[in-house]
Order: sequence, then C-alpha cells, then structure tokens
Amino acid sequence: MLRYILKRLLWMIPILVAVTVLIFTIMYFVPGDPVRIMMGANAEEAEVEAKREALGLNRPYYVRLLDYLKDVFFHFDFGNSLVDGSSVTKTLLSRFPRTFLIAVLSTVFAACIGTPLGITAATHPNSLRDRLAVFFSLVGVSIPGFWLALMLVILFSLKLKLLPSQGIGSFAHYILPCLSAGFMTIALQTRQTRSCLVEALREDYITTARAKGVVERDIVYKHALPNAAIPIITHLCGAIGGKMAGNLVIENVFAIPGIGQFLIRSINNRDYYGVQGAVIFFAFILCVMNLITDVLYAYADPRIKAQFEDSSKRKKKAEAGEESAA
Amino acid sequence: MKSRKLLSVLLALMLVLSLAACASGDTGKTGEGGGAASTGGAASSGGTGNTTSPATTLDQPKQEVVESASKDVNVVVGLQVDPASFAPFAQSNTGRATMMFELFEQLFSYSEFGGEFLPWVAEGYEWEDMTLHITIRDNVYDQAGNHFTANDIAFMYKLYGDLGNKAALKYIDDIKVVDDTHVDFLMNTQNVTVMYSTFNSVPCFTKAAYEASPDGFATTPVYTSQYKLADYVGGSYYVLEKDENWWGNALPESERHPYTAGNASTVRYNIITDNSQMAIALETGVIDLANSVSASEIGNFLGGDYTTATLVTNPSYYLSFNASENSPCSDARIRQALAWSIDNQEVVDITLEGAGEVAYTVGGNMYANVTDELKAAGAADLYGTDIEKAKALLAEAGYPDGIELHIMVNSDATMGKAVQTIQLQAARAGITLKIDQWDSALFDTYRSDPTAGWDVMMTVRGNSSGYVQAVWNGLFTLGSTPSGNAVFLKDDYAAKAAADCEVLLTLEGNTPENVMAFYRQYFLEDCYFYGLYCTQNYYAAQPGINNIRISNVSNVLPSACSFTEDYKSVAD
Repeated sequence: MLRYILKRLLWMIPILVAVTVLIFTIMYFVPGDPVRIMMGANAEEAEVEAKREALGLNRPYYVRLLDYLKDVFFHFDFGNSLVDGSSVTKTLLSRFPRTFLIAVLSTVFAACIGTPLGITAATHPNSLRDRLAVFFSLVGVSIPGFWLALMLVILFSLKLKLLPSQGIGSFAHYILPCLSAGFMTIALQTRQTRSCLVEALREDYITTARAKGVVERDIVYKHALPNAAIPIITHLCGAIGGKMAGNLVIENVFAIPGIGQFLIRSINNRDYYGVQGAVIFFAFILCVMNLITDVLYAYADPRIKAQFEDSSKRKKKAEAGEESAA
Repeated sequence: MKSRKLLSVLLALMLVLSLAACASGDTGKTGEGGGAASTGGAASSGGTGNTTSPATTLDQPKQEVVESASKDVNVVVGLQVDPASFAPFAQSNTGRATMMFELFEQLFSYSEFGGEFLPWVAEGYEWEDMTLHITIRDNVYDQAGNHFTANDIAFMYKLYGDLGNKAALKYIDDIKVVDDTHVDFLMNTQNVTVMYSTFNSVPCFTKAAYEASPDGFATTPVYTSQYKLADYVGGSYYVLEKDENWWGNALPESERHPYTAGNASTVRYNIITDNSQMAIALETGVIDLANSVSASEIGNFLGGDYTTATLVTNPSYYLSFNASENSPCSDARIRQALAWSIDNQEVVDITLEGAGEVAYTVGGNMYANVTDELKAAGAADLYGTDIEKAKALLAEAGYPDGIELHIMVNSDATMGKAVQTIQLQAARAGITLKIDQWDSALFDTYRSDPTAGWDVMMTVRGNSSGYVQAVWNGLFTLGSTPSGNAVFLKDDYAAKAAADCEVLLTLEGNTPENVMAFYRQYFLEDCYFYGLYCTQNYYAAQPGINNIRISNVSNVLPSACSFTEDYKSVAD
C-alpha cells in the first residue's frame, strides 16, 4: 500500500508540471493586458510600456516559462502578485484554511444528511419517503448556490437574527456558507446513495442473505452498503476537491477571504501569477484528494486492497495458503 | 427510524422556510426600492482619477454632534472592494481610494471635489516663474518616528518615476532639495491642473521607513498619517487605529486639513462585495456605515432612523467612436446620426431608474466650465433627439437603408443595460447596434486596438481636479493609444485638437469662451465623443452617525463624520 502511495505521489510531479506549463501558456496567450488594467484608462501608452518593462512582462515566452518552472518546482515560489506585489505562495497558504474548512464541513454536512436520506429512499423504493427524497434532491440540484445563500442570510440573519450574515471570526460565521455550499451536495449525495444502494440490494448475494434469514438492517448496513460504497466515496471526495476549487460564489457572497475570492480577483485583473498559483494549487489539492479516494477504496473493499499489496506479500500469502492446504 | 423521520421533517421545514424568506425578501425590496432615487438627499459632486467624486449631501443632523473625539468612537465601515495593497503607488481601486485619506497624507489635497487645494503635510507654496517653492512643516514624523524632510520628498518622486510612472510626472523637470523643510519643483508648465497632477498620486512617507519595510509597505504601511494599520485579514477586514503621537496633534485646528478631523479612535473596514449583503450588514448591525448602497436597496434606509447621503459622482459615462479607417464611424455623419438618435434622459430613466444625471459632454455638470451655456448648446444640438435628422445624416453618408455598427462595452451589468437601451433607440433611426460585451481585461485591451472590430464603445472617465478640460485632455492627447488619440487619430487635425485642449489647461486659456469653442468644434461638430450620464451614489449609516463626510473621490471618510452624543458603534 505504501509503495502504491509513493508511486502515486511521484506521478503527481509530471501532472503538476503539465498543469503549470498549460496554465502558464494559457495566461500568456489569453488577451487582456494586466498593466493596462493596473494603470487605468487615463494612462498613456508610454507609461504602460514602461510599467510592462519594469514588471518583466516584455520578456519572451520561453524565458518567462523556464523562470516560472524553476521558481515553482525548485523554490516553491509562485511569484508575486501583479496587483499588490504580495507573495502568491503566502497568500494561498493564508487563505487555504478557510477554503478547506468550508469544503470539508459542507461535505461532511452533506454526507450526514444525504447518505441517510439516500438509504431511506433506497430501502423504501416507490414509497412516499422515496418520492420525498427524490423531490428533495431534485430541488437541491436546481437551486443556484448564490440564491440559496442570500435566502439563508435573509432568513437566519435578517429575520431570525441567529447567525452572522458575512465575514469571518467565529465558527458561527461558517454555518451559513457551509449550508449553502453543502445543499447541492446533499441532493447529489442522496441520489448517488439511493441509486447505488438500490442496485446493490438487487444483487444475488442479498437474495441469498434474505433467504438465510439475515435481518434487513444487517442486509442493508453490513452487506449492501459496503458494496455500494465505492461510488459514494468517489462522490464525497470529489465534492471536497470540487468545493476547494469551486466555492468562488459562496466566498464572494459571504465575504470570506478564501482562495476562490483570490482567484476571481486575479482573473479579473489578469494577475498572471495569482491565477497560475491558484490553479496549480488546486491541481495539487485535486491530486491529493484522488489519492485519498484510492486509499479509501482499499479500506472499503478488501478486493481492491488485495490488488495494492505488493507481489512479495501476495507470494507469501499464496505460499502460506498452499502450506495450510497441504 | 424515529430519528430519520425527525430529520426528514426538519429538512422539509428548512426548505419551506427558505422559500418563504425568499418571497418576503423580494417583496420588501421591490416595494421600497423605487422611492430611493427620488427621496435621496441633495446632490453634490466630486471625483478622482479612475475612482469617483466629491463632497456631500446629507440629511439634517438629528442630535448634537460630536465633532472631536471626546470619547472613544469606533466605526465599522462596509467597503465593497478589497484595497489589496497599501504600497504607496499600488493599483488604485475603490477600496484603496476609500481608505487612503486615513492611511495616507499628501503634501496638498482638495478639501472636496471642486473645492480648495489646501496644504496638508506642506505648509504652503509659491511660484517663481516655472519654479514651485514648497515649504513643508518642520515637525512631521512618520509612525516609526522618522523625521519627514525635503529629502524624503525627492525620494518619493524618484521612486514613483522608477516604478513606471514617469509619464505621470511629465510636468516636473527636476526636484531640488534646498534644506530640510524646503524643496523646489522645477516645472515645465503652469496650468490649472498642474498642482493636482503633481501632488495627487504621491503619499508622504520617509525613505528610512520605506527601505526598512520588507514588502514596500504592501502589508506593513508606515506613513505620516493620523491612522495606522493595526490589524487585518486580507480580503476580510482592516482595522485602523488612531496614532496618539501623530505629528498633526501639535497643529491648531484651523491649520489642519479638513480630512484629518480624527473623530474616531478606530475605524474597521469590513470587505463586503455583494450589494445585498452590504444592505443586510447595515440592517443587522454588522456595520455602522456603508460606503455604497445600491439604488435598489437604499429604499430600506430612507424615512427611518438611518442617516443617508447621496452624491452625483464625477466620472461620466460616454460613447467613444472608432474614427480610424477601420470603421464607418470615421465619417462624422455616422457618429452624429447615432448621437441624434439617443435620448439621454430615457437612458438614465431606464438604466439607472432615475438615479443619475444627464451629461452634455464627457464630464458631468459638476465640473468647472460645464456652464449653462454649454449645456444649452448641447441640448439644442446633438444632445437633443431627432430621428429624422439621424436618418437624413445616414442617407447623406451613403446609408439610406440603415447601417450596422458594433458597440463594445465591458461586463458591468448597468452599462450592459445602457447599451441595450441605446440599441433600441438607435434602431428607430435605422442603426443596428450589435453589442459586444467583454470582461474588463479584454475590454481594456480592445479599446486601444482600432482593428478589434468595434465601431463605438461605451466607457467611463473622470478627473477629480474639477476641470472638465482635464477630462478632455485624456481623450485628445496623442499617445493615449498606440494609434494616436483615444479615437485613433494622429493626423494634423488630431494634433491641433490636442494642442487646443492643452491651451484650455493653461492659466490664460482657461476661459468659458475657449471651452465653449472647443466643445462646439470637437464635441458637437466632430462628435468624436458623446456624453451620456453620471451616476448617483448612495451612502447610509446607523442613526448615531448624523453627518456622512465624503471625500473628493466620492467615498466616505469615516473619521471625519460626525457622531451624536449617544453614538454607540456596532463594535462596542
């Protein structure tokens, strides 16, 4: 298993290099001049040109790319923001905990509600509960995040005065953002759990278990659910990764200084180093989440774990098996 | 099983409540929003570079005013844009422009838009031919305790130029330090905006503090100002704290710049980018003062205990034509035809729901030299609406069956709505406007490119010096785009226009007659640019703030606001 993890970690290097080259190239060729934005419409062309020179943006593509690769992979330095001159690496690291907190909490919240709802729906197919769960998930995926966020603010902050409407400072500040960010995931999680579990409950081994008189609770939780877990894990881990990169709207509405907010600002200002740094950072997070997903597969399904074990272990096990058979 | 049922019921309840909240929230806003524009306070004007405008329009004070900090006054301000950096010459934005008069000091600054140009860190100035003798106060220290001297001024301007701003210093030939408190600026011109151009963009700081800063003041500012940055989380909040050792405390009240009233002990800026959230934050007591309230939300604060203010801001929205050979708009008749087809008041009514003012040139009615005569001349000419005349001009230009033009605008929602209104108006004259809406980065790139496929663009421009010819100068200067002036002309006629505009800036040339003549020639006859409107800003505060002070760049100045005796901040 450890070997597999190491192998996956090494694979991340070419992936991150490819992402870096790609995003650098895209940002290089994308129309939009950061210096013109920085200097404003009143600036004269000579002034703009001088600033471009001062920032080193006049250098050829390959020179800038090589320098950037060197900085990122040998010095872990994403460069300085063209907007405010601050270190992009420091900015990303300081903003990361907030984005991560929202991503994880909202996914946990979604898992805690979506999974039981999905189980209820799957174990009572075509019943009122099933229909309500399906209706709920349909509503959940249809409601835009920014709209829901404002509705929650109006209800819990403006009308009920229970929770802060925006900002950071205490755990309470994160409740509404996590509810907003997690609502759609609840719906998707409900659907995912329901469909996987319905499928698993139709398998022959479930019929056998029922024939043997195993109680329904055990059939669902001990036999069907573990077998349906792989897509559920994939969805949840994917949701964390997706939320890390996709909570731009929630961060803006709730004024949370996370990476999403930084990325939006960087894109609007064509802050090359800001955009590149954030995208590479997201790529790294997604690679890590994929790795965690794979490791969790192994814990959920012993067959997958067996595949990860190295050949020597497998040989030993096989020999031990032969000996005991003899 | 029971718990699952309970959970399901709770979730259903939550959903229903959310939907109910939605319905009630919408109704309230729509109902009250309409009244906002018509009942807002009086207007005044002002403005700065690429930000905004001037002094205030306020509701009458309700209680006794606390003009000075007789007690600890804290203010929490909602700010719509993160200032991002406090480096002296960083990119300007609304957030930075709002905080700058508390965090930065200048040698001189306006008291309000179109107001007096008053000494601040400087004591005074004197012209001798082309030499500007500046005397600075001898007791100025920065927040690190460094003495601010004339050598620091030379350092500030050198740094400003070295960081790619040489063109902004075009009026300065050299700076000579005489002694600690005297410095001479050797200028190459004396015109109406030279003082503003020279001193507006350079805050005061010492060489010693700057060189000691690890990031050029980006996050560790050390200026000479009354307030210092005490705490912050980038993108979330910034707390400024009054520096009790501020050098200006030794000055008599009458000698201080009006922006340094210092009525607050601490000022906390909460960054709130969403318009609805800004209004909710004020209503729920998260902030004391909102730097901006949208026209649709201001109704919630009118007629109650809240203090509100409105201001017509100086940046004006206008159309700029592509007069190069790449566009049919190189023909003045096409440009005039479009201008004749537009009804500015209708654009204001539809786009801004009345929260704005018609402009008769590039530059709003608050500017010096935008006289009644100028407005009347505009109204009688292109700023009137005459569809038949527009059609006749098109026919004369060889387009009797109408013409298709591309109008470019950035992704701003209000500007998008404005061009849609103009599109409908132009269609009546047979002009089909195709709208190309780009994000601001692309827009800023294409606006300098005559071959980018646009014929007309809608954009915005202002200048907080208060002179309309300073706004015009940016349009007609050769070199404002790689292809010449802002409409891509660099022939003799364009050179003459640029020279004529420069004349308007001189002390002798700055006369209403010259301005009128220029306006008639280049705005009405040639119609290279067509003014549309200026927008109205709304500000609102908790009842304890009974006078909202607004700076010359149209943003609130929290420490210069006045507070009632029983004022209590939401932070207390």
